[in-house]
Amino acid sequence: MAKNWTLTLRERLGKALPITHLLPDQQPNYVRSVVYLFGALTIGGLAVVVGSGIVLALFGPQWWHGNGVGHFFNSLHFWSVQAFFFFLVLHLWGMFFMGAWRDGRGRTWVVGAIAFLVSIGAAFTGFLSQSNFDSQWIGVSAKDLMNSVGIGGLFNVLNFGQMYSFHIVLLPLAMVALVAGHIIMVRLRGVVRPYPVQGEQRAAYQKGMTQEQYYSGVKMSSFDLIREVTLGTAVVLVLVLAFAAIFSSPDARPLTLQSVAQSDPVGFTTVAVSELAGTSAIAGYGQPYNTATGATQSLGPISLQELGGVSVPIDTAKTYVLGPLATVTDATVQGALKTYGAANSDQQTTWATNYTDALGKADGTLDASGNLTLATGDYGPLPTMFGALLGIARSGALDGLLLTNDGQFYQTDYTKPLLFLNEAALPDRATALNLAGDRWGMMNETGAYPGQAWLWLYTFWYQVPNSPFTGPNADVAVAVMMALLTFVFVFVPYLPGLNRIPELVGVHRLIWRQHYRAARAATVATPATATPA
Amino acid sequence: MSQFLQWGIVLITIPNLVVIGLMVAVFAVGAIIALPHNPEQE
Repeated sequence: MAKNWTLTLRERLGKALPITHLLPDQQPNYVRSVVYLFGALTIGGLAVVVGSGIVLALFGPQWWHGNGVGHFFNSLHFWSVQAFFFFLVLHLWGMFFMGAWRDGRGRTWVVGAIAFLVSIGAAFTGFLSQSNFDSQWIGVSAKDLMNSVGIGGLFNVLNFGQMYSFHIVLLPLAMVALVAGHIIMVRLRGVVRPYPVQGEQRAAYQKGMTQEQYYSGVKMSSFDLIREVTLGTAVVLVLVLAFAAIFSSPDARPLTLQSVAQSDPVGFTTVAVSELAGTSAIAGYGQPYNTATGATQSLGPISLQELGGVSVPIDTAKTYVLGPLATVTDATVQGALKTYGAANSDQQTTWATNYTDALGKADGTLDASGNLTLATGDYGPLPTMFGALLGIARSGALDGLLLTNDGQFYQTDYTKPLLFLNEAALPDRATALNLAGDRWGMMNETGAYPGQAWLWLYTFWYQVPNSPFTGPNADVAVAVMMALLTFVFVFVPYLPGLNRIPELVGVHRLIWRQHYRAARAATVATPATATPA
Repeated sequence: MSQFLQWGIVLITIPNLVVIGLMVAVFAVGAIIALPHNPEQE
């Protein structure tokens, strides 16, 4: 009869995960720097992030935007994310400068580094899920990089529903699993020993060493893991409560087609005409929206963007003008549509050019019917069509139509309205708020708040003048550079030369100075040179 | 709206600079300050 599976699993878990290592009450005496606390503070930050995020998810966007208590929880979530990354980066610096991957701990570093990268993804999708202006701007800015490497349709940063799912389910699950794995690996292997001093006599690390063998001869001190993590969480919670109460959180209202059509009817109509004429930025963009080549990027002869295909097809004339107008029952509008459809392309282009020129001279005055007042000219049916479209937009109906038109289910994909808004209104407002790309916009936040400072390295490349990062293939060049740097970051324990940087930099001498002082004293007693390596 | 500091190609908002500056300061202080010393055991 086969052996009892439950018993087998229990025995294996008991051997692989000894409870005395998972919940230790002792630690090496050299663990005496506050730097060692940054890990516990990071876990505390993660706990507050998850807790405040669960409350936000329970009540939904309208609550965190429109209700005082909801906005306070939004502030808690915002500041807990800042606290989490603050201490995570400090923990990362500490582990780097201590060369914490030594003595068989390379995989512990790798798992921690991947957890850091997943955290960036979780925060990024969180910023995309705010459903305010900041999330709109981050979305339209980030889409080009995703599109340039051919994943813009698979991971659509303009699809609120998809990003929200990533943010509250997939990435947190991955994060918590990776963090848990990282902590278990740390506990099973124990804290790495300091770099040896010259002349120090100690057994070299050997693969398969038990923790007891590794710490043989090392003085130990009492330690309370649970108290450390609990106090770390309490410290972060107090900090976050104070910051949320004092500073609140950013929440600039989003742009809508309605708000733009009402505040700038000429601008709205000018963009709409370009969508109909096929001269807009999106009409000439390329994959994943169409087969144009205006924004197609490549890496030498290879275009990952083209290989990605047209996965989010958008026919700008149909999507933004002809489709919405087809829902209008007014006979005059339907007659205008028929006239436009019956005209040849040269005639249509002439009307669009004349109408655009006239819009350039318009002052935005509307007549009694709500149509723009323009100089007399040969515009064909366009004044009737765009008068109706402006009316639809100003009423708010166009915002809804772009979500549900073309037989779509009721859903949360804002790709179409955001791409329209990104033709002019979003960049104009982002520039006014100092969020444009030439101002490192992706890492900034609306108002006087810190933003995603952890994206500085990604944003940095776009600022290097006369480089591939500012040319027509800038996004794919940045993607390749970041992939390369990410590889180095994750696998630094295994890269000869680079993995010795911490030893050469010497910050570890400060962190372990008491240990080195004691080691020097010990080696003075037994003649030998005692200089930190 | 945030104010900026510019140094060559480096352009950073004051709030982001404050956060990064605090990180460096807290790390330096953390490296210097020792934890309370518990009784040693072999």
